[in-house]
Amino acid sequence: MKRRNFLKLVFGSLVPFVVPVFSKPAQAATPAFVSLCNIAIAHEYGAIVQYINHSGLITDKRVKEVLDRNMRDEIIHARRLTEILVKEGATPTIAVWPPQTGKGIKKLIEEDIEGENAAIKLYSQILELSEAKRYKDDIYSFLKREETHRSRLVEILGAIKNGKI
Amino acid sequence: MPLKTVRFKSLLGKIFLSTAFVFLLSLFSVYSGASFLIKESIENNFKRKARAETELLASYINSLIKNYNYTAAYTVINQTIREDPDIVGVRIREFSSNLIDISNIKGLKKCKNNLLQPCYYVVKATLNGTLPVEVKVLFSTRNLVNLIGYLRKLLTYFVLLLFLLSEFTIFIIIKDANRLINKIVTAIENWKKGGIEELEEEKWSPELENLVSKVIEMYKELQRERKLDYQLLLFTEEVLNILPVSKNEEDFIERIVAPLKALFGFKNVRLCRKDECGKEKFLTVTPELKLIFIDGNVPKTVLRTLKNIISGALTVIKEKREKEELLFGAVKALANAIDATSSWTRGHSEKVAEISVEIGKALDLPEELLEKLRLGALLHDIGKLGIPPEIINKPEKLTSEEYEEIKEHPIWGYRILKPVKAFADIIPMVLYHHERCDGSGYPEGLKCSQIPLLAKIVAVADVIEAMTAERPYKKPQPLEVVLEYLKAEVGKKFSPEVVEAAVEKAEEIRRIIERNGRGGGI
Repeated sequence: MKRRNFLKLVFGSLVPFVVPVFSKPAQAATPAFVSLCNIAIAHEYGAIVQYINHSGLITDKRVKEVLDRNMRDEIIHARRLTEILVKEGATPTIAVWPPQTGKGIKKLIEEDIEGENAAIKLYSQILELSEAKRYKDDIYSFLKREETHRSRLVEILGAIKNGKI
Repeated sequence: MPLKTVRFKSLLGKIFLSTAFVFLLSLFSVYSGASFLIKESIENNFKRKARAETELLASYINSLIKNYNYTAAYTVINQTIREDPDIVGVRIREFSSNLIDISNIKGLKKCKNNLLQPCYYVVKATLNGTLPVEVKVLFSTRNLVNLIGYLRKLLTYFVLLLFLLSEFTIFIIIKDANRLINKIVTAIENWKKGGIEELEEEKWSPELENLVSKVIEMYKELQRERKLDYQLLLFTEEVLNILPVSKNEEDFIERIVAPLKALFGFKNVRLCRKDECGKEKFLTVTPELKLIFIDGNVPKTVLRTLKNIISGALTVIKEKREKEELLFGAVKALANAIDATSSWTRGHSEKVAEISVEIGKALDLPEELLEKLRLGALLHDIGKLGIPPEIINKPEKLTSEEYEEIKEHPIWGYRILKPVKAFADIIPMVLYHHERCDGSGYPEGLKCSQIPLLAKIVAVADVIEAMTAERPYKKPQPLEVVLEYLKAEVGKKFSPEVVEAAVEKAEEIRRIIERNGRGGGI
C-alpha cells in the first residue's frame, strides 16, 4: 500500500468520530385526553374492585347496598370511557388502579371517599380539555355521579361517627 | 549546491516524514484511547443517573397511587417529561397493560447494547402495593450522542491542532538544523578558504556549540598535522641537502640545529654521547648517540619521526664515513706501496697530497673537491707500478729511452685505475699531472686551459715536493728557490692561480716538508 493511500485510509476512518450525529427530538406526544381517560378507566376498575372488596368486608346491609350501587355506576363509567377511547382511536387500558383496603368500616369508607374525591378531581380536569367537549355530557354525568357517590359515603361516615352504624 | 548537501536534505526530509508518521500514529492511538474513555465514562454516568431518576420518580408515583392522586400523577409525569430533556416517556404498567403511558418516542428505537445512536434507554422499577405495578422510564440518548459527538469533535480538533503544532515545530527544528548543518558542511568543505573561522565567528545554540567546537577542534588538529607534515617535508629536504656535505655525525647535528629551530621552534638541539646526557630527556638516535630537544612544543609522534629521520641520516653518514675511511686507508696503503718502489721516494705521495690540499684550500675549493684532490694526489704516481723497478731506482742519470719509459707512468696509472668506478674522478689527476701550460708536458701535451684544475694543482705540488726532496743525482732545493722557480715558470709550465695559491700557502707547505722529512717523486 502506498503511503498516500494509507494516510487516506487513516483520515477516512476518523470521519465518523469527527462528525457527531445531531438528532432532533420527536414532536408528537401522547394526547392528554387519552392519558387521562385511561387513568379514569383504571380508576373505575380500581373502584369496582375496591367496592366489591369493601362490600364483602362490611357486614352492615345498608352500607353494602350503597357500595354495590356505587360499584354498578363505576362499571357503567368504565364501559362508557372504553367506548370513548375506542372512538378516539386509542387503546383503552385494562389496568386497575391499585385498590386500597383496610380494617374497620370507618377506614374503608374513608378510603372510598378519598377515591371518589380523586375521581371528581380527575373528571373535572378532563372536562377542562378541549377534546372533552365532544363527550362533555358523558363525563359531566360521571362527575356528578362521583359527587353523588361521595355524598352517599359521607353520609355513611357521618352515621358511623354518630354511632348509628 | 554540493552533492553532500543535497543528500543531507533528502535525509532530513525522510526524518521529517518518518517523525510525522510516527507522531500521527501515536496521536491516533491517544485519540482512540481518550475517545473510548470518554464514551465509557459518559455512558456509565448516563446509566447511573437514569437509574437514580427512575427510582426517585417511582417512589413518588407510588405515594400518589396510594392516595388516588390521579391528576397529580399525570401532572408530575407530564412535567417531568417536559422539563427533563433526557426523559422521553414514563410508563406505569400493571398486568402488561398501561396504567399511565405518556411518551414522546416517535422516531426512536429501543436501545440495545449501543447507546451511541439515537434511541431510548428503558429503566424499570417495581412498586409493591395491592397490585404489582411497574414503572418504566424512557431516557433518550440524543443528548448523550450529541455530547459524546461534541467531545470527540473537540478531542479531534485538539489532536489535529497538537499534530499540526508539533509537526510545525519539528519542521522548524529540522529546517533550522538543516540550515546549521549545511552551514557546517559548507564551511568544512571550504575550510581551506577560512570556513573554520566563519564557524568560530557564528553564534551557535548551546546544543550545537559543543558539536561545532568539536568540529573546529578536529580541523585545527588536521591543520596542525598538515603544518607538521609540511615542516617534516621541509626538514627532510634540508637533511638531504646537509647529508652530502656533513663530515661526520657531530657536523651533521650542528648543521641541522638551525632548520630544527626554524621549523619546529626548538630553542636548542644538542647531541650527547652515551652516559653523558645527564638527567635531560633525550631521544636515542643510535646506541651511542642521544639527541636532546630543548623547549620544543612538538607532539611525540613528530618527535619520533624526527628521530627516525636523524637516525637514518646519521647511519648514512656513519656508513659513508666508514667507506671513505676504508677507501682512504686503501688508497694510502697503495700510495705507500708506490712510494716503496724506491727508497728515495718514501712519503712522496702523502706529502704531495697534503701540499695539494693546502693549495686547494687557498683556491677555496669545496670540501668535496679537496677530498678528491687528496685521493688523486695520493695515487698520482700509481702508474710507476708499471715501470721496471731498475729504471725507477736507478741512481744515475736516465737514458733517453729510460726517460721515455718513465713518461709512460701517467698512462699506466690511467690503465690501473680505469676499471675502478670510484676512482673515475681522480683519473684526470693521475693522467695529466705531468702536463704543462705551454703544451710541453706529457702524455698528451695539453695546453693550460685543457688541463683540469686538480691536475694542475697536483703538478705544482709534485714539483714542490720533488725539488725540495733529496735525490741520488741532486741535492734538495730550499722552498723559496722552488717557489721562485715556479713563479718564473708561471704561464709557461704552471698555472698562475695555482702557483699564486702555493706561494700563499708557503708556510703550511714548509711545515709539511719539514715534518715528513725529505723524500721525493719523479
